[in-house]
Amino acid sequence: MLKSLKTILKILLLLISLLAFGGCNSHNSKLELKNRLIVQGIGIDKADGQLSVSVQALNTDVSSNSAASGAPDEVVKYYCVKGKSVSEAIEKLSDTTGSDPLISQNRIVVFGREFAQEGIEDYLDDFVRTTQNRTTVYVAVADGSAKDIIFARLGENIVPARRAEQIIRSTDFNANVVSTRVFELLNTFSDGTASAALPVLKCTKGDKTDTIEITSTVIFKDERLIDETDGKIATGILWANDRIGHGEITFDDENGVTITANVIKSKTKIKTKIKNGKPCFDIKIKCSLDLSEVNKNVFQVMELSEISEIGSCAEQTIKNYVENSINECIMNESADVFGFGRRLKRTCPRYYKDNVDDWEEVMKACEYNVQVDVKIERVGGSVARLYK
Amino acid sequence: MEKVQKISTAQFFSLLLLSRLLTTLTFMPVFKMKVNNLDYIVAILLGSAVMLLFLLPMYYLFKNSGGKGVLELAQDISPTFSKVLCVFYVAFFLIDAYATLLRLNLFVASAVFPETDTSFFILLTLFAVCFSATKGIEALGRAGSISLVILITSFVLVLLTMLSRVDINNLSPMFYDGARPILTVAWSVVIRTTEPVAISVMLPRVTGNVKKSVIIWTSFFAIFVSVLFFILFTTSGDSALLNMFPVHSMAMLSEFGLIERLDVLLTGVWIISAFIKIAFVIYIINDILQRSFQLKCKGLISYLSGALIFTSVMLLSKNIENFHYTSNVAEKSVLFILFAVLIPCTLMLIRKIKRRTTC
Repeated sequence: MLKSLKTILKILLLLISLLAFGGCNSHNSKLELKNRLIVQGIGIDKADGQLSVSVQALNTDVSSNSAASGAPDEVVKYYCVKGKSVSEAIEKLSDTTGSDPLISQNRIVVFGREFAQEGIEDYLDDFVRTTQNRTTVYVAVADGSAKDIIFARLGENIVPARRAEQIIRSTDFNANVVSTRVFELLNTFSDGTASAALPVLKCTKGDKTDTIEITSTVIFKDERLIDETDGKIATGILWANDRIGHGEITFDDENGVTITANVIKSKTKIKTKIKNGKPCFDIKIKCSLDLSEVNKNVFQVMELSEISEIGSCAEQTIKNYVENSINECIMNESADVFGFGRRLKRTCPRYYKDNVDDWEEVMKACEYNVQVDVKIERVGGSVARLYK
Repeated sequence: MEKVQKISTAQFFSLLLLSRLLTTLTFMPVFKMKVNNLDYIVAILLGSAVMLLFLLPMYYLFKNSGGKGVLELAQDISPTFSKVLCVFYVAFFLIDAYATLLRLNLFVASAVFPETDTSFFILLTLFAVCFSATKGIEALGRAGSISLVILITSFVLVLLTMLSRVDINNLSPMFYDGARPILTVAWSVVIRTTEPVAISVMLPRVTGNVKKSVIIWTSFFAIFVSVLFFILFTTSGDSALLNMFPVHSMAMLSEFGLIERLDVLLTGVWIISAFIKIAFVIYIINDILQRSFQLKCKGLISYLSGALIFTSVMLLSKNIENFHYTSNVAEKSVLFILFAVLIPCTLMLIRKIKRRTTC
């Protein structure tokens, strides 16, 4: 009798667990996916003293919702809400949609240019404190307002936030694109000396569809946007930070022939030391290239000596990229996007501690020696005289 | 006569390792002073070494005890003394279980079910925990061993996926703010280790070379957690310390191909670990009360302990400000020194005096 009672109790317990943990009660019905607003992109601007948060969400309705600016059959819907904080603004989405926003699927956070110039640090807390948020989300700055990027219409069956995320992720194979995630941004801001580089997204309106592209790179210092640079500076930053995966570099050789080479692999090592009382950073870049295009007579077979010259030109080009980026960021803007301060702190903590308050002046006085070693590993598919 | 259940040192120390790792996994960086990231790693290694030193009184006490635990040795001195000690140890383990459950509740409510009331989840879990505690040390030992393997495998998988993001420049220099932060964290590592107290009462239930197992247990813990924190800080940098549960936040960053947010995998493993730890602690309470007071109602003790712990957690968890009760350094220091050092030293002293007087 007791044994059967125990069995019944166990079965009851299992059933209760099944019902209680499976979300099969009315209290949790709001958590069901069909009742959630699946956010794909968030844009933040400032308007009338409040935050204007633009949201791109997946269209899970069959028909359009009159409160949203989305035509029937569009993959996404767009919303714009205002609030004193990011969390408040996102919460207000349910006022018009009746759905609970699901931010865990968010792919990108875009800051409006003006908003970025005012400073963004006070508004990053939501991305850490709200557990739904992912700190692996990519961050970008809009050329104008973030709303333009979030509200972009790229065509049927295209989720613009996904496309924007893809474009930023192209840093893996595009040497002109910097990419930063929220946790990397937080890491940079937590360090008193470092600055961040973010890509700038621009939306070009078209008749039927819009286009999103990365047009430049911006520098953040003290959590504020301070400078905008071009793709070549971005390439230099990537190289100095050992963030070059693959990508094409184009340069001219001594005879003015334009050559494009693909980076097969690259490794940057930076040695930090104190020399003559000031920090010295030896930046050594080792890189392997595969020639993609050599703009001269295609019937002219490449000689071994030409390959060697191409290598030298590539070395000089890469060196110029890095030196120019150091000049632009450090000398002109006093923005340490390369993490030199952090390296100095790690290797020479005493010197760093004594000079951290004057880091802006100190880094301008530092010595930066760039050394590049390029190997032309392959010459593509075209024939070359690879023997003397 | 009921057969005395015993487990091997491997199973016993698997339980202890699981228990200690859970404490680390739900660690919160809440120190009053700024602690740089590399200081944590140094502190873990230092704290583990210091902990071994603090175990020396216990080692000398149990060296020639013939497998007797602290309560049995107290029984040899005086049955009343043993009973009084038993009450103290029960209180200690109740506090330990309460602190573990409170922290688990905070973790589940913050990271897993932020939009749901966790009371029912905690209640049901605790009911299952109490039931598991009645199944005996052998069942717990087996479950603990398997769970430990799953926990470590899960973590190794997460750490492997994070390797490509390792950047040594995210580490701070050692002793940048002096030795004080390291010593503070190292002491925190020591006082949060309640497992030596479990060793002292559970010795009669363990067969094998305990001394060797303690060294292996401590070494494994130190190495595993050091590697974990190394990967945590080299991948996330100082932003890891902005999170309430940094280890969980690291798991949120891990990606493997199309699979993202491996914290979902780890959350289940952590909850199982917490389940086994609390079940083990309640079993200990049950066991020592039975041994000292010859009580027969083992199930009732488990469920009563569970009810007491649940009530305490529910009363105090409604306000986050009450959470300091589980992380108060002074209180934890007193408890650790009392149970891991003073009581064994006192027993050693009394035994020596008694031996001299009988001679």
